[in-house]
Amino acid sequence: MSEDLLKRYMDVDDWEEISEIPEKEGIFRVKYHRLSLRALRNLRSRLTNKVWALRREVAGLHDRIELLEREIREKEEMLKLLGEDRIRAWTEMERKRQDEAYKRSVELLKKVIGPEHFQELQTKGFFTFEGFDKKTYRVKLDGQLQVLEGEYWVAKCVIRPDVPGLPLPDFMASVFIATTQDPSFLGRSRRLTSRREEVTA
Amino acid sequence: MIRVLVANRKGHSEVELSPEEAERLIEAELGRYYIVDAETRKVVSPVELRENQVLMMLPIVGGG
Repeated sequence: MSEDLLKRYMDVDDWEEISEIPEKEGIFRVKYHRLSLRALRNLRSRLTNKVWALRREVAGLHDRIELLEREIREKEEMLKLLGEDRIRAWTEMERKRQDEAYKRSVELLKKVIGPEHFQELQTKGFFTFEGFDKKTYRVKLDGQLQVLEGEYWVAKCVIRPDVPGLPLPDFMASVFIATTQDPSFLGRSRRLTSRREEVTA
Repeated sequence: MIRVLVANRKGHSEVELSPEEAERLIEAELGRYYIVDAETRKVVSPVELRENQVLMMLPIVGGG
């Protein structure tokens, strides 16, 4: 270790001044500095501690690198799986299942509201019927329930059942049953006057 | 036996139950589903159950 490097770790007090007259030359006084024994011990101790601290830091970095590499490998594996044929096949199967569920729900709606109302729904985009309270109601293709009040169709607030992915025709069938046979439903369902539509001929 | 059609996101699962089982099912699901007779299209109660009946279970919509 060079003296310059040593000095980076030294305090001024670590150096002791040596002043002497060399015997051979005789007339010159030589003055120089050298590390004290205590300073050497302290220096060795400080360097040892520093080395261990750096080693611990490097070990931590190695762990972090291994963790990140494992994460990269997992994500690449997942990416590879997602591109596989079986995933595509599964997605296709799920789409077909949804289509089949929709077809069945349309059949069920036809059974529940009857063929006349179903025909009306297909041609006009809504079907009209008499509710439990003898008022005239209609359900539109988007599932909206409206009640006829004077010259206006006034929308009623209907909350969709908490069944994830329930097909719309099932919801419409349920609205029909609720309006025609469940008096408590009509009592709870508020009018949404801001969305009223004028009756057209 | 009573055939019960349950409307759900998976596309109407269908089960065949004895009248006693159907009665228990109706009692359990009374607050969540309308139980509708497929023939009369009327909401049924357990006392109206009969052999070879077809029932439909529709999730109840709420009024807000």
